[in-house]
Amino acid sequence: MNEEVMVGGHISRQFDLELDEIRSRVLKMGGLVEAQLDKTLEALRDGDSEAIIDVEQLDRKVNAMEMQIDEECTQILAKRQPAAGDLRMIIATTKSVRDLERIGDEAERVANMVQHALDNDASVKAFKGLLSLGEHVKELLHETLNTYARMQTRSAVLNMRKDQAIDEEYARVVVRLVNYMKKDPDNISDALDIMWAARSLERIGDHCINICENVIYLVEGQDVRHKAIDKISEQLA
Amino acid sequence: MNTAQQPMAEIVKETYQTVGLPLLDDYKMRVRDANVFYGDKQAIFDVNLDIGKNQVISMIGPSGCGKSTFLRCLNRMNDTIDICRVEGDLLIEDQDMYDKKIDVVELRARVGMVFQKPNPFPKSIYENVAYGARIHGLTDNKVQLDELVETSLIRCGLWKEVKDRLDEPATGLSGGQQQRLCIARAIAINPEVILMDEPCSALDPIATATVEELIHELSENFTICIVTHSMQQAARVSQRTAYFHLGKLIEVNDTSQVFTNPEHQLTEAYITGRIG
Repeated sequence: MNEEVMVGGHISRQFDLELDEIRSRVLKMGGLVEAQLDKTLEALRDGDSEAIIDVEQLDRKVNAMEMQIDEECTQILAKRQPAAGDLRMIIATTKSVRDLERIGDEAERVANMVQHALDNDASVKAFKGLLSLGEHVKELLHETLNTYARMQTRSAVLNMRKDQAIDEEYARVVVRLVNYMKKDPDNISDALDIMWAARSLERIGDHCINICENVIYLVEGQDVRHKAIDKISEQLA
Repeated sequence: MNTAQQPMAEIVKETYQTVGLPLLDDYKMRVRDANVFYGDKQAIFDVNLDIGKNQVISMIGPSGCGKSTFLRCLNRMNDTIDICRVEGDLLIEDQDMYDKKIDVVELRARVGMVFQKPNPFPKSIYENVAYGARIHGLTDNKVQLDELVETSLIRCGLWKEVKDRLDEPATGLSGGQQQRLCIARAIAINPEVILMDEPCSALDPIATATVEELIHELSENFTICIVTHSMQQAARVSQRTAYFHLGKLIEVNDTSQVFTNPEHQLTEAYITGRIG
């Protein structure tokens, strides 16, 4: 045994390359999902049909990437039998790409609600009321992808707090919509569409937090799901 | 995850104490401050470890890390090497294994050993299993001896395969069968502990799986210490895993933790294939 050997990359450089490849592919997928959400917000703001088509096209790419990354993770499990940090990386990755794909689905759902309003000549103006919530969710997604790229557990916890604020904002949107429906029962159907769109945006926040939990699992080996944020913060200190 | 570039020797030097849970209340063997020397060269440094009763513990680490040397201390196999010196307290239950008054042959009956290469005696299958029992006077007559041979072969899952050719030479068996025969030979004298030094490294995957299944079954009644180069094997068969590096015991933890979230960066580096 050579005592001067350094502790660094794998002895199999090919394994290092395979893991790097997966990491960068996840970030690329994250970029596509971010673009999807961007286009969704554009559709919300401008009632733009072109943007909605873009969201749908991006979704197909996101779905394909999810399958490709999953296949690569399966190959690594079969060929390399990863352990410890490598094993956690593969587990966290397959879980995170599922969340990214679902974020894409939720974005597409919001875009479809806008399209539905356009098809029925309903006013898409009301959707603009979701822009603030949408922007906050977009910011959270961006931060989540940074957290994944940098493998930072501290920012993972900060993101959890941001998601709490998003949940509160969503609750306020719901109250507003319920009041609106009470006042104007004729428009309940349109208001429900907006409610579903708001719900989808809120769900995107939840998926971001799943990814943050995966990052904590990957880095620290700790499963922090279903735990209060303060407790997680304490655990990681 | 450790990705820092730091020389291994430096990290080992910084490791003054084994991390994890090397000590237990319910132990079968207890090792304290064990140091082993080959002439002037020290091979094992200040190892403190308890081996749990009816548990499988695996010893892993790069070649030359001292895991086999340590295993051989546990039934004084190192006595056969003139230049080897063992210091420290090594107890089985509460008896000092290195007490001058202890009968080494008797100790090795209590602590059996299975080696890397199957090494059946050049005798019949029956004689291989009966031999130890006979020299230790464990049975009174032929009927009892037959029964012991049968039970030992049954426990090793070999009985059905060999019952009609017990008088044939053991060397005619396949590698996997020979290794199971060696295990049957070891358990025939009813040891308390079985030491296994890479017991599957000469076997094909199917024979390996059979031996691993056997280890699992035997752990109900025996304490087993296994040295293995196969990390997957350690993960599959043992409840606790001990990681050795440059003669030091770096980490001991539950196997489930070692292979998913090891405490020490050297353990992580070894099991993820960053050092070998």
